[in-house]
Amino acid sequence: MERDDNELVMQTLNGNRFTFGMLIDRYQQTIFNIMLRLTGDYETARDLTQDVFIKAWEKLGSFKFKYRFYSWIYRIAINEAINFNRKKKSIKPVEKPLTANEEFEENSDEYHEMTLLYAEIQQLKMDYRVLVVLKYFCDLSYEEMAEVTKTSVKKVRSRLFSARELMRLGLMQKNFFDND
Amino acid sequence: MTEKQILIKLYQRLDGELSDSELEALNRHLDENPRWAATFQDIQKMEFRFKNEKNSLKPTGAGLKENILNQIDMEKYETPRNEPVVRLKPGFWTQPVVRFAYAYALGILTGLVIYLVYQGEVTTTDTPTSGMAGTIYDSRSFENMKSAGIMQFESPEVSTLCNVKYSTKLVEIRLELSSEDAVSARIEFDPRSVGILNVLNVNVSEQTSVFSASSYVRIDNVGNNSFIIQLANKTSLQNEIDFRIFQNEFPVYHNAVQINQ
Repeated sequence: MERDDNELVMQTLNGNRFTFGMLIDRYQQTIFNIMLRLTGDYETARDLTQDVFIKAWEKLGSFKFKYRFYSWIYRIAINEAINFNRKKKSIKPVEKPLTANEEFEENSDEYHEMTLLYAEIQQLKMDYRVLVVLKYFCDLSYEEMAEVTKTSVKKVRSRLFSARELMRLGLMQKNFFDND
Repeated sequence: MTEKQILIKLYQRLDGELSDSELEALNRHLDENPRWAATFQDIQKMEFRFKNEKNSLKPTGAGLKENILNQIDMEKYETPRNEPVVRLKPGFWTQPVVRFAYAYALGILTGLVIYLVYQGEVTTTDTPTSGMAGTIYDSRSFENMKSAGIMQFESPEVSTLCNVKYSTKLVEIRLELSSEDAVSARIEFDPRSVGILNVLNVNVSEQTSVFSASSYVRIDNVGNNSFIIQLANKTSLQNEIDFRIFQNEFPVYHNAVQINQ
């Protein structure tokens, strides 16, 4: 039976390095993809993912077991991305989709649409981008998003609505919807 | 609905957050408005693309986990010592609620003691009404006040005794008046020196009435009556208290005593 996150955290706190490795196995891909969508750059996302787990290791003693581990580590990831974004001077333009979807052939309509979609995400301001990533790539509910971002559900709803509308209007200008 | 409200409903529909009635109303709205139907299609397309992407996570590449574990210095991490939490359970008598009860009971007790002591003082200083005469403005009783004089008159129709005493703040006149027919007694004084305080009818028949003004007190008397007239001694200067008796508006007696001698 798979051990739950909190049990692994507890064992890590008792000095078991192997269980921390299990937590890395469990979350590295999600964290990496959050970082990829938030920063738009593969190498940066990889570096930041490492930083997230190192920070998690250092702060593991302050983890409160009443919370869910994933919301705690997502929070660390988002803070890392926000800090990185503050230091970054310019946004790297998205030239190809960040997807791993093998169905898309280069220069196909789908490929082009995904490029536009990712470019639109990168245009959003960071707090909107965070919610889009948590909603669409982490599949979190409004309540979970509120927990991760330490804000109210009402604010999450309002911001996500704004983010979606900004993307829709941006994509409309780029004729995203005209191919149908 | 405003445009924004409709857009919110469209996204709520995608999130599966609309009730049946809301969904029905929205569908009706979309059927009737092709522009909104087109907008909803756009939103659906965008959502579809996102949903496809949800499960297409990019691989992290080899060696990420090893890199992380290599960077973690196990020695740096100190497992928090699980020290037993010592919780001192406060004793019953030291609990805040009990302390509050102490203070409350003590307050009640103190109040009770103060009340009883005060009550005791009041009862011990209580004196009969007769003894209180002359004690309104100072502590001396009538017996201890200084005598200004006694005015006495007796005739077949009327007899009277007017005893005037004073202290530094009070002039008290004790008047006994007896007449079978109506007579009028009048006590006059200088209102700048003395002022009327109180006329106490000690024993007065029904036909008798008392009228007081700023400079005199008039008593229309029938029968045997007693009065206590109290005047404020305003200046402590020498002054006269006049006493007159009239029968059928005709003066039958006049005398005066001097106060503040």
